[in-house]
Amino acid sequence: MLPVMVGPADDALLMTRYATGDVASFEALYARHKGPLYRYFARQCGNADTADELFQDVWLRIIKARERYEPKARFTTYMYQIAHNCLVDHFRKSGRALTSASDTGQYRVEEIRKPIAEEPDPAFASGRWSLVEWESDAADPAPGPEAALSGAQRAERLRSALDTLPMEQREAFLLHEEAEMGLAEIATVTGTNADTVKSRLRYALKKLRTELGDIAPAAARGALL
Amino acid sequence: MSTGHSPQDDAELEAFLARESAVSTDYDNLELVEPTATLDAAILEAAKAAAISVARVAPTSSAPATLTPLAAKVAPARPPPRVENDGDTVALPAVRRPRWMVPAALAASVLVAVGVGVAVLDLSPTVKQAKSGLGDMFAKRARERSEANKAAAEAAATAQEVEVMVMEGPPPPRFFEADRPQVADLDASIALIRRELIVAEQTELLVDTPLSISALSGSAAGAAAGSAAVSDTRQKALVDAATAEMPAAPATPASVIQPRDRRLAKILELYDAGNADLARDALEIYLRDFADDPISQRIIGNP
Repeated sequence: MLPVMVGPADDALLMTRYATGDVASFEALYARHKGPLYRYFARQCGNADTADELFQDVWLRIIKARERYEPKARFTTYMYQIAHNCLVDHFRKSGRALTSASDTGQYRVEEIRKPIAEEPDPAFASGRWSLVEWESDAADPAPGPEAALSGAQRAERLRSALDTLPMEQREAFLLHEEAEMGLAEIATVTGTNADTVKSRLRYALKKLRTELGDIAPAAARGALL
Repeated sequence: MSTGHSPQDDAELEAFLARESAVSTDYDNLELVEPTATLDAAILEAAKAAAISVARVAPTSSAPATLTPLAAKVAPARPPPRVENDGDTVALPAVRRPRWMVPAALAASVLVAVGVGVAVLDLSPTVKQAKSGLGDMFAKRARERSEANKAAAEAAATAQEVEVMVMEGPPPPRFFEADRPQVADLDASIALIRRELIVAEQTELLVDTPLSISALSGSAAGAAAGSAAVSDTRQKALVDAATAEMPAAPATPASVIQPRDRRLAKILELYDAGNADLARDALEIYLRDFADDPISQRIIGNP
């Protein structure tokens, strides 16, 4: 029976053991990371079948590359780099292109052949959504405090708001929330620098705040006071 | 549109990175979607199949049918070999080739090729000089070895020739032998030959005319007396002496001149003509050819 291990070094150890044929190590590694990775794909794609396919592809790549694995970085960074590449390949194959609109971290998702979300959220069922439209929406007055909303309702609004984010901003947000990564690690996974990641997160938080109707987070409000 | 960030944005970002923002709290309240159990089983089965292939154990066929395609993606592409055994197919353990085999095979091939090339260059005596440095070195070595081989071959041929000459050369002529007959005194030898020839002539005459001799003996006894008896005795003694001294010559007709006598006569002619050297050489040849002749024995034994 494997000892209880938690931590990045333990992940690398488990992966190294699996490379030598220890299946139990892989099972422990998989049980630890399967949920965050699956949600990373599910939130990005909005489609369960696509999430399943990408999720499976990532783990198969890890299994195939087990003998070449070197614990130079955190296993989480290694795994989400593979996930990022799979996601980019999927978007490329599905006809979506990501173009940078400026150096400020503002990205525009251009639809080439079909809508962004294969199963768009009812709130964006028109399929006319774009960052330009979002910017015009952002210029509208905020809906105002909705303190009366329950937690479930806020979560549902957050999920809907996440779907409206550009892929890079949403990816940065998800990597922080699901993989618990910092700016540097997110930059490594996405192939950018920390400032770009910081900018993307700022835009993402501003959009989510607007969608959720909060004026300011409680912690931040307290810090400002 | 302004790209600047307010202090509120920075504070919000700091709170978010510290997981203290309301957004993080709301995100935690989202439904925790998980992969399905089928997907989990498929991935774990694929991982197990890959680990088993690492351990070089044949993969089991007990995997569920729905998981086989996924496991096949990870498992080695080449199926394990099978052996037909009386209609039954038996799966053999998968044998994985070591990674070093291909580089080792390539290196061995290069070494063999270089070795063959060097050997060909060494065996070729007419190899031309290569323009490259390596070619020059090989050509120089080939020339040196070719010259050495040629010199060795010449030395061996010379030694064989000498051996053949020594073994198959003709024997030295007997003329130059140290124990050849020598004529110490030519004049004495000529006198001896002359005397012997006279005796031989007289003896020959006596043998050819036996009746005249007996008649001579009878007439001497009948017609003459006293003083004539002395001459008869001397004649008879001379005939007996000549008969006794004659060699055991074969019975030949009297008209045929013996080669021995002819050669002796020739020696006398040469000597009488003043060619003493030629007479000496002829006499020595005679002594060699008729070594057993009584005249030769007497000449050699003649001081």
